[in-house]
Amino acid sequence: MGFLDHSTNNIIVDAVLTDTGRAFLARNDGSFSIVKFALGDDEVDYTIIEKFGRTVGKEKIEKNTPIFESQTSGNLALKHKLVSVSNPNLIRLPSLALAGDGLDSTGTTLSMSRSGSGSSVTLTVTQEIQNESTIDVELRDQAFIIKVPSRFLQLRGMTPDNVDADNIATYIVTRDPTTTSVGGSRVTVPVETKSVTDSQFLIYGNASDKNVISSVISIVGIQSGAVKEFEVQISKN
Amino acid sequence: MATFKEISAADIKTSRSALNQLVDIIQEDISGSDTRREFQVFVTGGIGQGVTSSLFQTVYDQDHTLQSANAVMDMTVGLYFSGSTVQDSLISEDASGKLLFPSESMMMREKVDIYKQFAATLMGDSDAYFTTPFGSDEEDDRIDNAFFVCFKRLFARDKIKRETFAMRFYQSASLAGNSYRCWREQDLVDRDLIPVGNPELELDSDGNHRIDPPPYWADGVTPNLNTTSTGSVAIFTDIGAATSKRTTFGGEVADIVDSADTSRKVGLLFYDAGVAVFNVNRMIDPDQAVMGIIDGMSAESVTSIKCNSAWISHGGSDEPDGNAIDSSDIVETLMARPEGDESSNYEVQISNGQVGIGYGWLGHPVTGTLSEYSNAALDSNDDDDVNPGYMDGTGDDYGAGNPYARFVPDFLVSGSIDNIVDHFSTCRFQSGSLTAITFQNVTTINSTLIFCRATADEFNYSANPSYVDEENRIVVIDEGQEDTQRSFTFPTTVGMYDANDNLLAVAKLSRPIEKNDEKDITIRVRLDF
Repeated sequence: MGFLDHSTNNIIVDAVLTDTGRAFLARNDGSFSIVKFALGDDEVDYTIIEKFGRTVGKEKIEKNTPIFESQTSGNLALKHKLVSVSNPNLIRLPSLALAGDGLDSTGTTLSMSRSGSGSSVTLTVTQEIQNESTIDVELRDQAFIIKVPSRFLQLRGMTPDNVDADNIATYIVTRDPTTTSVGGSRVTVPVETKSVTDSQFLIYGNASDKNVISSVISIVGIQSGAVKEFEVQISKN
Repeated sequence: MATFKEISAADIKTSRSALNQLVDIIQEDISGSDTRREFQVFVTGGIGQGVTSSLFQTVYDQDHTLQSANAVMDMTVGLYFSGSTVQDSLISEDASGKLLFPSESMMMREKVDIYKQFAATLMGDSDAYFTTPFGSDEEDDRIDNAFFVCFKRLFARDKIKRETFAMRFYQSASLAGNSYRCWREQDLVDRDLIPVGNPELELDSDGNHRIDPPPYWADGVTPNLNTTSTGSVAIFTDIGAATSKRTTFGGEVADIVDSADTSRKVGLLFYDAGVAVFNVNRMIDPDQAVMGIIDGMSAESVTSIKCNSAWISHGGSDEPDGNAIDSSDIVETLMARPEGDESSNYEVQISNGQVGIGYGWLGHPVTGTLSEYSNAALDSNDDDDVNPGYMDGTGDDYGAGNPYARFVPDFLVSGSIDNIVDHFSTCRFQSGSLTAITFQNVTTINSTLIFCRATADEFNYSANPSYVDEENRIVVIDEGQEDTQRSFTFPTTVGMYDANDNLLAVAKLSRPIEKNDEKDITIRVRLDF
């Protein structure tokens, strides 16, 4: 994954099919059908605007941000989407907050076990916004895209919409009926471990401790585009 | 939806374009033993250890034993069944139609079959023949002896582009050691030899010899079968193909010509198939004497042939009669040694499974402009000869093989496909870092153009973590300026999704572009198939 040549004034568009796209094309059943698009800005650091002001900051972003080549992994190619909201005067945007058993104090690491009570946890993801009385209606997520490593984990009672070549299972989960006081959506994520074998611990276990497998779960709000990624540590015992 | 935008049917277009790539094949890749791969699937039984040979050889762009090597092209030879090369050596057909050839030949049926295979694919009929120029009715234009070069799909892609093909080829076998291509009477006495290129060797405008008595040719004193050519280079090209487009059963075709004389057609180039068919009779000097070792049905494990002298059997004032050599041509015999000393003797070892070709026959007309023959032959056993010192077939001792061999037809008949392809590869393409073959290919690209349009009020916010601070505040709007400043974003990526939110394709911009509520942008994404 190199950088794109930005030495000319022309803007070059480097397009590739993702692994999922190629797989769907190979099916030859019409499943390869592009119907919508999204824009992303993964490389951009908007804190430059804070540091240098809007005029210089914009110029720095435009001229000093090298762009990576396209990635063919559909799970990595576009993480942070741009959002369309009809209200042009928004000052704040909602974020996703994670709660549930097994989370550490920062809410960034979930501890689970292969068996026992730690093998099944229920997480709650909530849309939050600070210093606002309500979340814009257009930003209230009606569904969430949840990606889990299917070798080790699954969402209890749900069937994945797709499992890709990297063994990442994608679930599209509808929000809970209830909302928060500011109108934010909630979604319940029932995570459980699969029957992970000792051999898998040897292969996929952390180098420093083969009794623990580390992986990542990603949750994306479809309307807000907000992303919540956190690490899952599955212990052998 | 706030993060996705539907693409309308009007925003999806398809187009077709062509991509050209320049392919360069250097001489040493063709000549090198590491980069040229043999597939020895043909095996004989019979006398000696037998002969193994490929039906074709493949040239790679690096050592073919490496996994990273790419096959560039295949080479093989084929003979037209009704051509003189086959018919003059054909003994008969058996009851089941199998062609029978004399034991001095090698792989004749395979050569005929290969020609038929190419004819079936490229001409639509296995019994058809190639002509150059293509479509000629002249029998002289028929390609009886064909050298096929097939470019691999990896390099030829969808087709070869017209008027981009060129091949550097050496039409003469090596003349190294044969700088004395001819003797004169006086020279024989003095052992002072006329160098190649001396205008005395040519005829004058009246067709008479420039010197009297005329020169006598003594070509092929040094084995030339496996010696790299050094002169007579020609560039064969498909110039003129862009204005002379013709399509046949095998797709588009045009003539390959000698760039020095474009009226001289030497082969055909089938663009769609990526196959070049060369007329061996025109791409090389067919009458040139061949001398060397080829595979053969022989059990002799150690045979030494000393080629240390040549008998020049015609001399005096009588003119050669230009007919087949017979005793009337013999006036006197003289002897010369290459370069005049014993140290220039040539000794060749022939192993089990090999035979010599061309040993003993040291003279014949080379250019075709001289009709006379000199009869210079190696004859080390004069005692039992009717005509001592002269190859009359009565007790001559010239070692194994055909002493009168020329490249066409003798070498094409007696050599295995490996022998012939080896000779072309190692000698006729030479062995250096120059370009031996070059062309451009064509890849047809079918593209889908997707116009991703973002209107002024779309995609002006971002889910990028740096877009908001820890209090969820958008950082690109200055504090206190919320009434006057609007948000903006810098898209760098376009993701294209199906109805189930699967990311099917992704496009990246080479630099971020600003998107705000006063700007609409259209990004044209091109997906190639």
